[in-house]
Amino acid sequence: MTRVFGKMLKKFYKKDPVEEIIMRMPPQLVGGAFFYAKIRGGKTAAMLSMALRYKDTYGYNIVDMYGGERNENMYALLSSDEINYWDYVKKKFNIKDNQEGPKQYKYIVWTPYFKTKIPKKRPHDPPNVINKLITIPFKEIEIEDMKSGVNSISDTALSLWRDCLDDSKNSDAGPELKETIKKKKGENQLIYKNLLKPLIDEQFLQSKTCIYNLDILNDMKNRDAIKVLNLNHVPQVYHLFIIAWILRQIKDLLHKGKIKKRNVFLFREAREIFNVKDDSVTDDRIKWFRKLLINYIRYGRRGMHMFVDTQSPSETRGIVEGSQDLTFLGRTPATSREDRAAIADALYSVGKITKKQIEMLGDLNPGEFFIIENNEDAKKRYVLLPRTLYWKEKYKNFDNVWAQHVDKWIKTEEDKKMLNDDFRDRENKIKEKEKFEKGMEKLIVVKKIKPVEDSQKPEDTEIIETQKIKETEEITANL
Amino acid sequence: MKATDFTREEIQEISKYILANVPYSVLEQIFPLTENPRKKAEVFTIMYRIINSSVGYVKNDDTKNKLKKLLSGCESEYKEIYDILLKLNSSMIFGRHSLFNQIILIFSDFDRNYKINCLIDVFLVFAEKQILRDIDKVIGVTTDNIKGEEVVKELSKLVKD
Repeated sequence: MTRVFGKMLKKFYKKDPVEEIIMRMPPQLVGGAFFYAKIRGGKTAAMLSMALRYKDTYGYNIVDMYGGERNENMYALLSSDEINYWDYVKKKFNIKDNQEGPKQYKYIVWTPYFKTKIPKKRPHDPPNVINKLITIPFKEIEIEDMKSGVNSISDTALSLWRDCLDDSKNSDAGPELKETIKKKKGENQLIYKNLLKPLIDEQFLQSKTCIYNLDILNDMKNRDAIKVLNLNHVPQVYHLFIIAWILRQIKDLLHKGKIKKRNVFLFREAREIFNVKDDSVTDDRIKWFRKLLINYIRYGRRGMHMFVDTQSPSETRGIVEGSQDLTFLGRTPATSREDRAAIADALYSVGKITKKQIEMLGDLNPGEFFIIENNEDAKKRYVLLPRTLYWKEKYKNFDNVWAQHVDKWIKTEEDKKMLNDDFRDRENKIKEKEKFEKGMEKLIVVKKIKPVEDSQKPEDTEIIETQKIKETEEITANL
Repeated sequence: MKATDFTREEIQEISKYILANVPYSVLEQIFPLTENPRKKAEVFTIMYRIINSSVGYVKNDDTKNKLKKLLSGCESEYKEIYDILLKLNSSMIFGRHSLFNQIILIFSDFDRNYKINCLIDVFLVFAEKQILRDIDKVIGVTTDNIKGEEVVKELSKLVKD
């Protein structure tokens, strides 16, 4: 009797009921991850949650590149407020006592400096949240970056930009660049009108020596902190240019081996970029950026892993197949025939998902997905919420949420003054230089015209010349 | 004192000590809920001793006091049974019968037996095999089975709007 009871106990204790319902961490990434679901399907929360788990488990470096129109990437700066949810999770899954569900990660927020748009105060709560103003050195802008900023770049514009880079010094900033372009008569070029001039006027383009320049190397080396690009105040037309520039810089650093591999980049609402259904009305710069992003998606082995969320596989059809390690298929209504056709085309045809599973797509709960790992078939799983805050419909503005939870800010006034003074100084110097050059021209003209009169009135000419020389000396002294 | 007087966190802390210091194979050997007087006496003394040693491990004073209260409830039984067991193991074969009878006398007293059973029951809860997980390793729920679906339903209710 005792033995039988003992055996029963042994049997009972060896089984762990939690193990049966737990979703294990997928293996390390080779490619990227794609999250598809309609609105309220929980795709963005799942993407954030998975990225954070890759950070927690394998030490991936996270760069939250794009938060969509609603700037959703900023909400992760705060830890989750779902206390009851995480208490239940802890209890249900026997989580160790010293481990909290909600987690405050460390963040570096990259805030591009746009003189007229920059907010007066920015969320800043060191050491958890460090908000950095960023500018970019124009000498490091390649023509490829500019293609994401303007719709068309002519060959003339291309050569103009190369000439400008050759003729500029490292210490030159926006005003000097403007002057160089004027000298080269490139003011009518579209890259100047639509991209360079506005960015110079906004003081976003700076010299190589500017202290506000984005220090990608150091920030990327700090793998503990999640990097967030805050494009909230930046006009939408420049978003892709800034993202493209940052991605290229990181790619270059990876090529040179200066930063470690295993970097995850998050893109929300990628439908704006990927939507290939109506390509005829898509801007050229978006098409170019899409091309870039597709290249980066295939850069997994080099250390860049893209996590992208879109509403439907039909948007990425033919673009990303074969490059994803993880595909998350969330709630897709039965009425969406095109989406289902895309799923069937991409996954059913290769036997990854069954017909029954496709039919079930319309009934999935928020957060529930059919997950397809590289070589495995689709499995139905629920992804836990991120341990940070994430965007919800009730939030209107991130600043309000931040004010409610943390309410610690950094003022932009001093930085603005510094950059403004530098910009004005440079402009004044250019004006003085212009004046000086004009003065010199006059002097040369006087010298050329005067010789005949010189013989007649040598004393007057001397007076004029000495006056001119004095003037020029004064200008040079000022310079 | 009952196991329910201890909070989940307290049980986890004590459990951690017991599982870390007593090999699982030994735990299995002492688990049998035998009513054989001699075996039951041995099981009781072992359990009393392990719980007593865990008093020094737990950090919280409240937990310590609870454990002390639990042990004090059957302290006299422990002292008596421990003394009898010592004698039983060292005495000659002819004196054993009377010692054995003394143990039976203790167990046949309903109140005393109840106290001993209580301690054994609480120990069973303390020694429950709990795999404590890292939160980083729990990323989701398998919803292929009913248990998983139930968990997801509960979780969905707890999500704020």
